[in-house]
Amino acid sequence: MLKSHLKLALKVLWRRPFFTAVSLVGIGLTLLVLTVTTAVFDHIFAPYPPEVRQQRTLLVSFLELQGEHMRSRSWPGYRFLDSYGRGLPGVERMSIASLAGSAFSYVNGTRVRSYLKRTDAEFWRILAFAFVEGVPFGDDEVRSGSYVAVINETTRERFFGSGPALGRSVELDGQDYRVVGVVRDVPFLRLVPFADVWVPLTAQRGDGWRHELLGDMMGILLARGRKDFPAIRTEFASRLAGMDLSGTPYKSAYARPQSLLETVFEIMRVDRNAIGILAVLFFGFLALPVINLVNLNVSRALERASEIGVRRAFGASRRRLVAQFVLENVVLTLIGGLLAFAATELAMRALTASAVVPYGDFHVNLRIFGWALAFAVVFGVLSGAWPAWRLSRLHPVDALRGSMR
Amino acid sequence: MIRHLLKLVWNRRRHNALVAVEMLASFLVLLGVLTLAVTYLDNYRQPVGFDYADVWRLSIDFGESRHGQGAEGGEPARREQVRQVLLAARAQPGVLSVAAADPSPFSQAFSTRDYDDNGRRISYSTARVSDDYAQVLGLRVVRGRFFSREDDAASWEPVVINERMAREAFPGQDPIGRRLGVSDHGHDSGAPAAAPEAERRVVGVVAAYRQEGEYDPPANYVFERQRLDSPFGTTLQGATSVPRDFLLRVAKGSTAALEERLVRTARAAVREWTFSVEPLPLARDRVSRFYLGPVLVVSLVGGFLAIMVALGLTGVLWLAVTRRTREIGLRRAKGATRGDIRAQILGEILILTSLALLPGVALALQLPLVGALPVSGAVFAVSLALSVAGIYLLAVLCAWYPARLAVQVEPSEALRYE
Repeated sequence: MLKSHLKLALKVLWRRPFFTAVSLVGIGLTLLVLTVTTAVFDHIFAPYPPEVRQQRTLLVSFLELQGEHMRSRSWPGYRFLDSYGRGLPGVERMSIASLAGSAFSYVNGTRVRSYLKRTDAEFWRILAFAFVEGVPFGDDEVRSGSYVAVINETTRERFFGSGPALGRSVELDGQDYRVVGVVRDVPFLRLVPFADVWVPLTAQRGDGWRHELLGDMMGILLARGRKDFPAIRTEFASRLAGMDLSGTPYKSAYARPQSLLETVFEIMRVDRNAIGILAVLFFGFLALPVINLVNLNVSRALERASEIGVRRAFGASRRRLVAQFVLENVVLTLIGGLLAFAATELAMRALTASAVVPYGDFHVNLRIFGWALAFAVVFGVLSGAWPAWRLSRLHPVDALRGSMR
Repeated sequence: MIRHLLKLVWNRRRHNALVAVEMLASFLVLLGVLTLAVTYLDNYRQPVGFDYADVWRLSIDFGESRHGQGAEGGEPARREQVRQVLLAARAQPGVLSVAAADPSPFSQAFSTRDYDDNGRRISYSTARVSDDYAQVLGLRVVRGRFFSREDDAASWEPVVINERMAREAFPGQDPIGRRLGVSDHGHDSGAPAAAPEAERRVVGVVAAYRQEGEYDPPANYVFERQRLDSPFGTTLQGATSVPRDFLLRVAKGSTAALEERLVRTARAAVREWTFSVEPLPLARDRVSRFYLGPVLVVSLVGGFLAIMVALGLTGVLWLAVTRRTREIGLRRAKGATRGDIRAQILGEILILTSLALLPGVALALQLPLVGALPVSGAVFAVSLALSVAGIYLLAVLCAWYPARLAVQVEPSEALRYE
């Protein structure tokens, strides 16, 4: 039965090539937008190396201090993370890393901008970087404040051409660092690991950063498992409640270990209201293609009124007709979905090649393919249901005559 | 004629309703996209107020974040060190003038304040700048004067505002010498919160100032004075944080060699800090990308939707015409000309479009009525007009091919149809 329906569906689609093409373009473009969005999300959030343990990682990415007449909210500083973030129950490892800031160098008379991240030795144990040369800096180098650096392949290329970099030194913001390791490039949008150059937190002359509650650091907590998250958050909250804020104008503090997704929403200032607005925009965006496809489907269905009439006259149930029509539509959207998936692959390649995102490595995978199929089916059912229902309501006599209002 | 067409549209209401809903949805999407685009264009054509072509930013990294207050007791020493750095930078050949600014242009850091003026909320962005700032950035002072040594002896704090602020805070009055309200609420994304404010008086008005450049929406702006001479970096309320961003006007055609020399000189003056130099045009490109990215994505998606809707409508109208071959044939046989047929098909579409746009425009007009309009009235009016025109254009374009098909129907052929 299903097979004959499928056969019929393809036949029907082929009968009106122009309509099929118009529908496919509409379906394809809609699904393309959805699939590209998914692929970009995947690029930012999926547990690709080096973030292979991302599923059980929490980030302390903001601290809000509340005073009587003022409120300050920012990335946390080192003192805050060091005093209140260490030794939480259920946390296997804990690292403190700065945001990737700019550092400038002058190589052969031109200016080179690198992103510099200051961090500790645990960073390299939580994240699984792929080392091309050398090794990460360890606890000893961090303790002694050695001017050593791990650089990515692009930085090696910029400073040293194609040769090996191990043991040579790079000058950033006027400071020399000895290269101890070279890693593969990490895409810009990977918030936690991304940088061009990683150096020890302690490799700086001033020590103002040690005393900051608010600053430009993030705490990276690797839990034993996801089930430990609630306990970690509870303990962290209770530590904050007892926080010593004497000598500051503040009375209370708020921070929360969050997942990467929550953190990125935080940075983009996406709060609950904004999520509501985004949802409205998203469905608004989806509504137009659905209405468009419904329109086309209704028009097409009119053509087949006499066929429906015959089938009704011969006793086909309404439900069966609805199912058949929706199935036909889903077949159409699935074809559109496949086209969209292929186009997404091209779009991702173009995005990677354009280098809009430094070190962006956009690609499609099975997970994204699965999403594309799911979008196609949902889209097909949404846009097929109403025309199918209208068709099934046709009176057999009217339908046979081929008239429909 | 129009009543007759209305009747024809009404007779096929169930079919037409769907098309109308699609047009309505397209109209709303188009209105959204166009409002965004017109807003950007409107911002773009307004003056930025400063000239950043040969201006560089020298930033000092004290080895702590922007929230750092400096080690206790370190402030006076730090001020002296910053002064040394500035002297060294100013002495470099190729550097014409130097000024402090916090936040500086294209820094994506903002300090905003607002105060209550007899029930009106007046909000503004603010920056603390030094006397030479107007000269370095080529600000045009239209009233009064910019900060100068004259302000050293004043018992109140001088401020310079932009014309927009002057219009809003002191409508119809001469702002010079007037007092600025004390803000009770503020937000800083860059520098730490300021100390409670002393009495502030307006000493000058600059023509325009939009900190983040061409795409930054015009806003009220207030400059406060940062002293670079002795007593360095102090205000009436006592010490403020030491500025870390400085703007340098350099000779035309200066190259990265000067950048490198500046960084080295600064580093020679104070060993433990790090310094970076970035030409403002580069910073501007970075900020522009930040502003333009969302617009690009929205326009791309909007373009996709437009193509889709156009194809869809063409298809639907085409089928509608095919189904009415007999009716059209009959009219032709009774003497209607090709022009009559074309007018009928296009007329029906225009009427349908108008019916769809009526609720759309009514809906859109609710925004200014409830005061929820996020853009200026003029921008919204232009966007609304463009959207209406756009939908009519889309409808006519989509009806063009089906109408041609209808016109080609031969009476004889149509009458023996089926």
